[in-house]
Amino acid sequence: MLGLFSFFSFFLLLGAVGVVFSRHTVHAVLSLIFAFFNAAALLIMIGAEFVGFMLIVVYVGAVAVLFLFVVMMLDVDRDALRSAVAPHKKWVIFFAAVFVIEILALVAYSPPHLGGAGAMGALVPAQGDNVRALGMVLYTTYAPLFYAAGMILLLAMIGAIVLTLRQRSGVRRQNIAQQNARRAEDTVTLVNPPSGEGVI
Amino acid sequence: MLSFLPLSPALSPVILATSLLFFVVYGAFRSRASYGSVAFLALFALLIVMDAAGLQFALNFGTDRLPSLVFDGLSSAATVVLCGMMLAFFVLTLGLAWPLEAALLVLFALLGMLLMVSADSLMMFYMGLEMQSLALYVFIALQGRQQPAAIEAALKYFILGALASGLMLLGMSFLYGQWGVLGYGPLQALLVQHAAVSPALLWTTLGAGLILVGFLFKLSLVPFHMWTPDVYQAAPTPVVAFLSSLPKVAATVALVRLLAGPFYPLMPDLGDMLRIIGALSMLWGALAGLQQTSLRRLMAYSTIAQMGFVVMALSVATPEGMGSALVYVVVYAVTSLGLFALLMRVSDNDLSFNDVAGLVKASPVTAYLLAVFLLSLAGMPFFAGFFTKLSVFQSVLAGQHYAVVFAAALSSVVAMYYYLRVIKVMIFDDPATDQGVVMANHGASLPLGVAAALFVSVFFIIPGPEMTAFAQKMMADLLPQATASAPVMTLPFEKE
Repeated sequence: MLGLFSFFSFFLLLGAVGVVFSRHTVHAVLSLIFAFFNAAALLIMIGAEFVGFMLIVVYVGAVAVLFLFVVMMLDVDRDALRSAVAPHKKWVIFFAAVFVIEILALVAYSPPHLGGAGAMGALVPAQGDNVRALGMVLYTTYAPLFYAAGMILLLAMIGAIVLTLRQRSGVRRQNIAQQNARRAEDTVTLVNPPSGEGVI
Repeated sequence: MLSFLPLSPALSPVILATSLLFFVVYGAFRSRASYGSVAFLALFALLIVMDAAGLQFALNFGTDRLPSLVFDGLSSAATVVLCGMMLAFFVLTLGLAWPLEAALLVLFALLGMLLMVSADSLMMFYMGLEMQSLALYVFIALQGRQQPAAIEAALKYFILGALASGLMLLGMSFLYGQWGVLGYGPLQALLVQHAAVSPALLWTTLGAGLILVGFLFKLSLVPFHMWTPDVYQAAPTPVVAFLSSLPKVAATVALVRLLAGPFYPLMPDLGDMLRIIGALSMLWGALAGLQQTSLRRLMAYSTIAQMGFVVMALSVATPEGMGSALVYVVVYAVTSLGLFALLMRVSDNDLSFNDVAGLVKASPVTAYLLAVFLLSLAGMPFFAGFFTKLSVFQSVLAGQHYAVVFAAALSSVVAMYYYLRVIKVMIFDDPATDQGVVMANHGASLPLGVAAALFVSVFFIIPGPEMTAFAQKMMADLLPQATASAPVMTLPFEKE
């Protein structure tokens, strides 16, 4: 079990590093998908199959593919991007190193698990399957959170629309009521052209 | 606080969310709906929300709960204050030609803030914070149609904000991984129980520290302050008025809830961190402000310095310290709202010192009211800023943290220079151009400015002492009992 955990978490980290260091944006998105798969495998390992598969369906199936579309359509000037970051590279690496060393030091000094139910205990349902366990709490204990998440999604939708929608004048718009109100006798003219002359 | 409808305080976010959904439908299907009409309708919704939250005080309900939300004195008081400021903001902007969605976005931000101040679990707090932040990013970017610089400001705010949210989530995951709970109550119980085991608390302190990073960003404290001057400079004046008031109050109340609750056992470590950050912010806010030639950037550095005082007061974790921090941030928000409301009369864009030179000739009322706000921010006696600073100093001195108080005093002295310089330019200098300062006409900005100036001027008689006593009593109830029994200090302006 530990071997499998190490395997997936190693590749998860590898994928994450790939996202940051890829020179090509498409490679970065593919690394992201790779990282998502490994994260899903970790979730399945601790018994949260439903969440794991949802991660694949939603993130890999929808979000990452959308990313791929967007990234492929964008014309990113990679050299300009690199030269903008290059002068600060020393500091970026310095602060990242400090952060990693801090966390490694903590890992070295602390017991792995202590007190409380622990994250594992809370995640794995006591009985029944994943979906049932999720359904039991999602609309009861976590109902306010569920509504709040819904409001955030509505907000995101309104925000995306209001930022991108531009009212242009002179656009031929479809008016469905007008279309439905059209009648054949108003618009269709039947002609019977004599042969050899055509319609004038 | 009077209450006319028998509504439970727990309904306050529910009422706001319901009316928000109604406004979405109203805006979508009514072709004549405009920013003004939605803002006008929202005034009534806000009054009902205030009424529901005010019932807490009228009936002395105690504590009302929903899963992962708590409605006690602190959240009700914060709800009433936030909705009151929102009312003022809507009255101020009622006549503006903003798109309709702007009204929805600020209401979403308010809903996020209400969830933040009454959150009882890390998850709910994060939801509230995200709702508020997302709404504000879009709200700023929306102004990009008139001012392209606003898009840059929004993008900067968004990227730095997303980074801060990410660090905060990492911190929450550390806490959850260690203890397996998200609720404030259970987390606090576990931390108190295991307070003696120090290596385990290292992880917890790291998690708590990362969560604080998110707050420090929201409160624009050094070294997470970079976005503040840019956003203040690029966004239109009413947007800055909003940004510099409501989110600060909400973030401070949410921070108080965390520090007085689950993080209380970690306070020895976190307090040091907050004191260092506070000292840096106060000093940098004062020193960097000296170089500014833009009035808005100057106010941004002033915000940074003022928020330094707030975290300094929070760091002592006594009822006096936390109570005075709450009063401080509310007074700061009212001052800032009034100040930017008056600046709307001068210009909608950024102003340099030259633009306000000789303002007193164009509009004496505006110039003198602005002087009142600036003097209060500087901490001049008999304005609100002096008394709030005094009670902050007293509570920190009671904790015997002399170094940080020295930094605060130094910051006040240095910052005094730039506040007085603005007053000098406005009142004693000659106008830069022949026609002088051209005033714009905004219906509600003058009455609101007068009301805020009145609040700032008579604060030491009413409602200052009551507010301070109320906030400190509330914090004494909220903090763990050991400190509640500590002798309560009398403030010089408290009634005998």
